[in-house]
Amino acid sequence: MKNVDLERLIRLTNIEVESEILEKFSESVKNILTWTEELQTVDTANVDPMFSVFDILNKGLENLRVDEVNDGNMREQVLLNAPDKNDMFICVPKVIDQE
Amino acid sequence: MSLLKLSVKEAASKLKAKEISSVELVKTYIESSNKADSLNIYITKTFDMAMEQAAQSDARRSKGSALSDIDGIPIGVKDIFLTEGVKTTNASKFLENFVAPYESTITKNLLNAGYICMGKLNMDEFAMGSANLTSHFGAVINPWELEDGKNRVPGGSSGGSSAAVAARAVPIALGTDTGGSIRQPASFCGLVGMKPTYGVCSRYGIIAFASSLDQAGLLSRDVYDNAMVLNHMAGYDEKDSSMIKFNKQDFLSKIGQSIKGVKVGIPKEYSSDILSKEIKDYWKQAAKALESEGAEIIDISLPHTQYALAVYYMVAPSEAYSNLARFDGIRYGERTEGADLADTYKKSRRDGWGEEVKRRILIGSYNLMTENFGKYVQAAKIRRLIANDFIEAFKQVDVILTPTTTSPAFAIDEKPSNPIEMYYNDLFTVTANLAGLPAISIPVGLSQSGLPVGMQLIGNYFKEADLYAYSYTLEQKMPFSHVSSFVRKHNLN
Amino acid sequence: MTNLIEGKTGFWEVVIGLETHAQIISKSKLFSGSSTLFGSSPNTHVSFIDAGMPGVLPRPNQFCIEQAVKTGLALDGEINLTSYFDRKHYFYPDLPFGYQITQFYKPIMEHGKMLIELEDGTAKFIGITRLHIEQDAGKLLHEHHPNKSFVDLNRAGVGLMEIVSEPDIRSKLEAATYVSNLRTLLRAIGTCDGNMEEGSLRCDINISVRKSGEDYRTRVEVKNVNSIKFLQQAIDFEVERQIAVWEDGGEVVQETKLFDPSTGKTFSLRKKEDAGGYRYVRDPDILPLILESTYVEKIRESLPELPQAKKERFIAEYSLTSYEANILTIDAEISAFFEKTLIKEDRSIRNPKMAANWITTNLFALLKEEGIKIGESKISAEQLGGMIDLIEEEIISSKIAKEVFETMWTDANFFGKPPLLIVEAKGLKQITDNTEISALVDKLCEENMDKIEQIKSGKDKLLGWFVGQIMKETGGKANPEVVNTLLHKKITG
Repeated sequence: MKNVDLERLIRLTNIEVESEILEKFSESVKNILTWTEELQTVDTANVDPMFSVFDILNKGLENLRVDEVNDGNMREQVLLNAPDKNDMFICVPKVIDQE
Repeated sequence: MSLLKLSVKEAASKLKAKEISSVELVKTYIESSNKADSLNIYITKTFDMAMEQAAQSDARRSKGSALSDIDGIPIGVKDIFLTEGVKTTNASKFLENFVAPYESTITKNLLNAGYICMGKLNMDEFAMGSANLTSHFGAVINPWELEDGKNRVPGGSSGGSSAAVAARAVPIALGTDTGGSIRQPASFCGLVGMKPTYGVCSRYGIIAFASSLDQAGLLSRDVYDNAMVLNHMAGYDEKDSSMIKFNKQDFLSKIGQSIKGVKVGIPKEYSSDILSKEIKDYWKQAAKALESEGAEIIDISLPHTQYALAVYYMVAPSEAYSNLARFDGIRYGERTEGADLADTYKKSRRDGWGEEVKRRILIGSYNLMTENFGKYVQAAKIRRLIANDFIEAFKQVDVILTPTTTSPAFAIDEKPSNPIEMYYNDLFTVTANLAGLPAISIPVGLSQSGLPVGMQLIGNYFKEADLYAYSYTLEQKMPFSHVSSFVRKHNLN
Repeated sequence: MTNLIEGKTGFWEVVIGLETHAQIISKSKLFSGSSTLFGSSPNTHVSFIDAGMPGVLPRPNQFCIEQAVKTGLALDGEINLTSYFDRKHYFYPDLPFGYQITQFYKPIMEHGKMLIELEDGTAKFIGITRLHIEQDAGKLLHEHHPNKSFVDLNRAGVGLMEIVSEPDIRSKLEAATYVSNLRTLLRAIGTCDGNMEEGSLRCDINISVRKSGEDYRTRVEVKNVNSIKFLQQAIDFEVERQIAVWEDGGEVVQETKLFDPSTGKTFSLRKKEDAGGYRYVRDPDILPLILESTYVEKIRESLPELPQAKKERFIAEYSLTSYEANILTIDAEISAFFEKTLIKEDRSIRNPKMAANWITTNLFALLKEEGIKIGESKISAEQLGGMIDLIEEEIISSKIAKEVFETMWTDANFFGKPPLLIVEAKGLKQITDNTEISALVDKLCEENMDKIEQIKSGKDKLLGWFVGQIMKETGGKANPEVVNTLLHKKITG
């Protein structure tokens, strides 16, 4: 696929992808390219992007939380669904910490 | 089998009058649900729990302390809502063993109203699909069978919900709608499907597909039932920081009111070439029906409609890419142990999801590449233009009438091979999600082949009560009295 | 121009910008109600939100926002009345969502500045590009298992302020002063405890070198430095390394490094960061943060006197040296103690030099010995003030004062009691009565006529012996001036 740094794309998606899916994805990219070209023709000078529905109503957060401790202390429930865990921790394959 | 015939409204009034018990009602629906196994509606049946809840409901009722007008009513729940202590899979292998550790706000609201949870309904994996063909637990079959013997799709992504209501396995079901996932399956199965204004229902505890588009709603047999149950779901939720405070409406309050003088917009851009003649005819009929009740039909223009699909397919997969980043097989979900951490991530995400989810997050990932980000922002700008089209239109009209889909349900083996063609299923529904407007699909008749056809009404922000009123009138004028062939065949009438 | 560093090819200028991560003081996390307490049992301060469970939504903490506004104002910045939360994507087991919620496109504050003093006594402003709010990550532990790492999410989601400086810093000392001033400021306004060992304040250093007059050359980022000492060592190492690379005809590569305190060297991260890979996008789960200007002004008015202003006032009002003023304003509790010591009941002012001296030498020594803070001092500011009065009124000598001071600190009988009580109880009052001292002098001289002869013949030093004997006789209470005068008179006639 031209125009796409596939290796980087897959790395940033953090996934291993089967070749059939990559083929379908490549097909999709062709469509996306047609679409985005079409979108580029629209005059959007002085138009702000709308990332959320209430951007259109100029609404901001109406729901700030009061600073109180009223959650947590539920280790058992937090670990409930972990595929690898012990009494206190979620476990992952050993990593050399870099940060 | 007469209990199955009852609408939610009728069942509720019989419960209230103690003519029937919740236990009876639930038992009946458990039997009919079991009959519908061939349709692959359920991912998880919670019948034992349902019977317990029904007994509790009856106990409350006998003490005169029923929680609400829907106390004791069984409801099917799309498997995207977290239900505490019950498996919540999102129709994915990734979560096939995931037991929800908490309750979604919507189902909690319904629990507080005394609803009975019948189980977790099948759907497209992670809500990505419009035919319910992508579920890890297999396709759902539309209860509307034709004589050709081919199985039809129930629509998606709330395909388990639509099939369950159409097969009378449940009287009403919860769905979610990101690009049409309630309205399109409703129209494919001859049901009423409502997607409220973005932010009428809390998203807390619903597994996010595209956060700025997702909204919960209902698939029901009729308009009244839909409004009745939505009354117990809607409401401002502190846990959802994307909501704004709004005045809580009684969604039933305007049902039955005259629609005299109501201005109904017919957007010329929806008159697409791919729209079949019979659907066009139904569209005209629907307009006429409203007109005959005193509504004024006005031709309008929503000039940016042609870009809606393109914008949708920039926005939805990109948000999905981001929302699905947390599925890494570390804290929950299936993990495929790899050679090291990096390998474990990649393999878990490879094995956890099916093809459609992977394809979509790759698209999202592609859209968000630095070099493509400008195009993503351009799409977000055009999204505003699309929403502005509606805001302008609603200065002229009260409601907009369009078909819900371009065609009735297609056969499972006739699924378009090109995913883009599949997307045309969403052509008429995505605009309401992009703008965040409430929209409802109402069945208006059958196609020549005998499959249901739905019409869509789009309302202004937070005008659900009005939308239900208009829909109710349309329903009265074009009564949809058909039942699915499955119901007929199994004598669920 | 003392900052230039001489290499083989001439002089090099060091260019440094700092990104400081300051943990916000708050009871609960930035987006959940879990506690921020440090050092608790693993995974206890973790909610479903912090663990990135499916369906959860973040809920911004209003106090964290207030703290950020406060800090932004204290740094003389402009508060953006509208700011946004964005998602920064990367995969790591300590980051449950697969993205960090931060403010990339529009931070809460921009264009601040901070004054720092230079070695030559002049001062300069360091520009603060921006301050934004973001989440901290959890922690990985590697020591507990041979082939597994353990994830602890206690810190995941704690609120941070990232304070980004302009590349205005020109030496390691400027960098050290900047961080130290910043820490003092954050502590003074109570928005961060500045505890670098516990990681509540840490720096990423951007370092490059250039010949004077040149544009910036490639910079290297050293991440997560958690002490001022390491900050300076890392800068030393990098500057020397980069100059050598350039002078040997090489190229400094843009990279991210860590500092290893055990070797004093920086080293490259094995995994290269993909700078364009974060795909920052608006977080659709959180509406924009819109602040009222009255709210911002109210916070501005509530700001305490800032360390820099206080320092300037101490120098002007109390004639302290810059050094003394610095020490006394490094911590708001210290400066409060100092000023309380100074002010008498009648609101007149005691000797500031003397108060500064007692606090910074004697009191600090005892505090350090017991490892406690000035707020926990066993001697109160009132007691110390009273003791200074006793010295000034010549009731006790400075030497006796040390004994009184010791007693106030160690003798439980006198905790919190006025120092005059100690003086009286222990009979430590200075003897200023001439006749009493005169008698002692007469007696001593008579017994030591030989020594007097020696003094007369020029052995002046023996005079000290006589003073010492009298002081010994009186237990140190004799006024040394009186003793001196009388002795002199007696011996030299």
